Amino acid sequence: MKQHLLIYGVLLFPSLLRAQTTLTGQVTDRKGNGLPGANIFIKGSYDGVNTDANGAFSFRTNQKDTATIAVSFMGYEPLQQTIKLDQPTVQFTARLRETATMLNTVVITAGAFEASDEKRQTVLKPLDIVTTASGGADIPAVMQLLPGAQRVGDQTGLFVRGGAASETRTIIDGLAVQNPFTSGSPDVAQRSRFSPYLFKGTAFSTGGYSAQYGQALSSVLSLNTKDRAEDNDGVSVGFNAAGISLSAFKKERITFSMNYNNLNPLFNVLKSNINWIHAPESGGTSIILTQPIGKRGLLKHYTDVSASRQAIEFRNFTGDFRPSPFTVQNRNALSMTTFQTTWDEGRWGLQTGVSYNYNRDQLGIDTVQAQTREQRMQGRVVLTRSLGDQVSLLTGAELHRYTYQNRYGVWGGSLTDWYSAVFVETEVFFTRKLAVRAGLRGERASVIGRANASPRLSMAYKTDSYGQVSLAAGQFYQTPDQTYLLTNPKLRFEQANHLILNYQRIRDNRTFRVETFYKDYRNLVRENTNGIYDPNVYRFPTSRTNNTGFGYAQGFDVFWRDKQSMKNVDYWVSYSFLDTRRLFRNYPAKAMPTFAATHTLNLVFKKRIPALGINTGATYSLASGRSYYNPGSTVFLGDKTRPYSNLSVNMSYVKILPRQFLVLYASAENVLGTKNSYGYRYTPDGSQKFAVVPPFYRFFFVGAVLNLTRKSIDPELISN
Amino acid sequence: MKKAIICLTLALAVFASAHAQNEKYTKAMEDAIARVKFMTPAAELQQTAGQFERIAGAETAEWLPGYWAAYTYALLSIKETDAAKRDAMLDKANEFYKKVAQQQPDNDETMVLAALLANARLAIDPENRWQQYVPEFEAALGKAKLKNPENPRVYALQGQSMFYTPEQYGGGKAVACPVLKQAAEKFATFKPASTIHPSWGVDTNQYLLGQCGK
Repeated sequence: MKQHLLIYGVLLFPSLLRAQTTLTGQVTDRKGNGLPGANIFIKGSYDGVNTDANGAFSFRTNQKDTATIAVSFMGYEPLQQTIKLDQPTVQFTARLRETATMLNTVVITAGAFEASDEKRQTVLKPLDIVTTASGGADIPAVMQLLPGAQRVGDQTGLFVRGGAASETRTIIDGLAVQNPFTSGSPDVAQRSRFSPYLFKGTAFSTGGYSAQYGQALSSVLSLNTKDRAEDNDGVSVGFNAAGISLSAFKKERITFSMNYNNLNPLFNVLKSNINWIHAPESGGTSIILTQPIGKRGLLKHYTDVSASRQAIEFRNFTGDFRPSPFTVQNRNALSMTTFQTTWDEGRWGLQTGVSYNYNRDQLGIDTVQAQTREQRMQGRVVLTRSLGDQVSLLTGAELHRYTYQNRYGVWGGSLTDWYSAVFVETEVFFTRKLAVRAGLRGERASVIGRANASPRLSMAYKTDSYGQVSLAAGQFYQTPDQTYLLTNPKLRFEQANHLILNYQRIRDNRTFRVETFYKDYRNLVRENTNGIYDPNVYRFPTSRTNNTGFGYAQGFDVFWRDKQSMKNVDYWVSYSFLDTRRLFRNYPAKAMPTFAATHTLNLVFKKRIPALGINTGATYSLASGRSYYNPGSTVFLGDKTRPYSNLSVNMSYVKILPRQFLVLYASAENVLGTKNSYGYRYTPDGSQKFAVVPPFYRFFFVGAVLNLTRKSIDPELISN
Repeated sequence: MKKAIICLTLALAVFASAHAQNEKYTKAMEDAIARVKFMTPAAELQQTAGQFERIAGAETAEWLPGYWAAYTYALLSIKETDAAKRDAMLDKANEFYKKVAQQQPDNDETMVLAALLANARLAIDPENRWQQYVPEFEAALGKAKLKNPENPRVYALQGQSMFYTPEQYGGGKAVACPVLKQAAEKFATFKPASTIHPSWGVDTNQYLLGQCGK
């Protein structure tokens, strides 16, 4: 019976038989530093503990013989190991490897500014585009407040580090956009065609960019459209000083918009420096469709059609300088369809797209009639493959058909170019601290019958948790400007070589960035004008041309942004120093181009007042004078304007009601009324000069947007 | 007779052992749950999260350990100030959530947890994240409410989110307090399925409701 009792006892209290083992030791990182708070336990049991302040642990277990020890800690890769429990006390040390995160993994940043929600560490957020004073809710205008870009108030486009506007390429979802800016009058910089609300991310590269992009000597502005429309059904109505807009959206699928703008009423109120014959008037419509295909596929379609016209009175600087009319009428269409998908758990990725661009400008320049018509069809495919955490590969191809027709009075011509490109790129993480991206792009342009191959290389090294150094270098080619190709199809590709060194430090909500660069221009197109310089930007080049132009640009930028020192305040400071000279186009001598300024400073300040629903902002820009052509001067482009300065403010008010959403906004450009001039024009005999000035010294704008939705809007908008 | 006694004893022993295991699980969970409060120091909360993780590892058929682990990491994220660490904690919470969502896809508490995690993500950078996380938060709460209109945590989360939204943006006490009051009423009648089922939210709701009268 006693025996039985023993058996019962063992059966009833099984733990009596088990001798406990004590496990002690430490959990450390790869360098042997203790990790406090790590969870260490026997797999499949409750036995375990979190490590103490030194990463040490000690606990007992009833397991016998062998056990699987599991260690887990946030930010580190989990570890499992089988150990023998053959001693009363078992020693164990676990070394954990850090998981790849934004904080500990290097990112290649030389030359690039990104605005994105998806990546946690970016310098800009999409909202910045619409909340920056002096940015006018225009993506390129806000990019001009970043280091590397220049504010050139009298010429359209993005001017980057001594590069002309034509050296910047705008890309939407990987597809090149032929005419990203609206067509306007002489001496007035134009806005881009695209609403910032279309995009989820913006990447602005000031050099050294990926082999995915070509046909840009200076810069790439890459925009990515949103993956889905508004998360609601509804309509949005906008009124502003310049016009009205209407858009309707169907949950996550369709967004349809229409707009009509007429600046005439506003221009009647404001004091203009320009005599408007017909204030800018435009209208357009667009549609965006998104359709998920399968679990990971996404099909997107975007079509935008618009028309505009304006006319001014300007001084015809080639003739007798009497005031004469200038009219421009534009028709533009862009249609693009893209498809993207991934498979094999994201290891493979595919992005494809096709697009069609149409643009027609009809100009009336005094008595001369001119017209340009451009069409571009393109297809693009990119395949990506990741091989583990360390290596990824990208390869792709592009094919474009571009046609161009130009008529300028009795001059004119047309051309067709088949442009093709293939590219391959690999990104390798040698360690989490060192990444290298190497790529090669090959291009061919049928219009000049030439091909090129351009290598690209960039690398980054993480110096500590917050800082990193990046280096980028590469060769960049661009087909010469269309107007030159009409008279000379034997030209070669223009070329730029970039070298960029960058240091960036992002800690919490503070960013510091400094970058230095050298850009070497070769084979630029030069006109043989026998030393005669014609400053008319609309002239049709008829002289003989060759590729003997060259130049350089060098300098550095500093950027500081701080969102945390003051509550609800966000500010940034950017400064760029630029030294550049070039001999190109119809320049008779090497000179600093008219679109370059040596010093550029921007101060951007934003403050939120959540209790009142108000956002306010101010932007101050200061740039040293730019060169202008003075026929009386002995030095070509040797004269400089006075420095440019501009203080602008903005304010917006948001009111959210159930199913309604109201935004009121107002902005004032150049509130101090500084009389900036962008340059001067001289009569041919040099006796009289006229300043090139902005259309308005002071400019005011107000507007409202009302959103009506079927489902109630969550008030969470700007909470916490 | 002897045989019968042995059989009975064996049966008892097996039952006792199973029961002991069950009791051990419940006891371990109860101990841990008692420490999951907003006022608990972060280090202790971290320990508790570790405990839930260990239990989840051992009791793979149970969904509650993972549920509470996710909830505890969400709390840890709310208490943390460094944005990157807050996201890292929610990444961890999300690992547990994913498993819970597989085990209990139709449970309203799973949906409430999804809403809580979306709200915690949003709180890190509301200005830039609302476009993604507000719809997620809304959708998850909406689903939970449809599934079980009596779940007090649905109203507690909704009221809390309204409470911290400025009046200009459609929030404020005026709209939040009736919802918080509704949550309090639901809490009064709500009986968790067991001592270890989701039961959180009363304290915060009471605290916010306390601010309403002022």
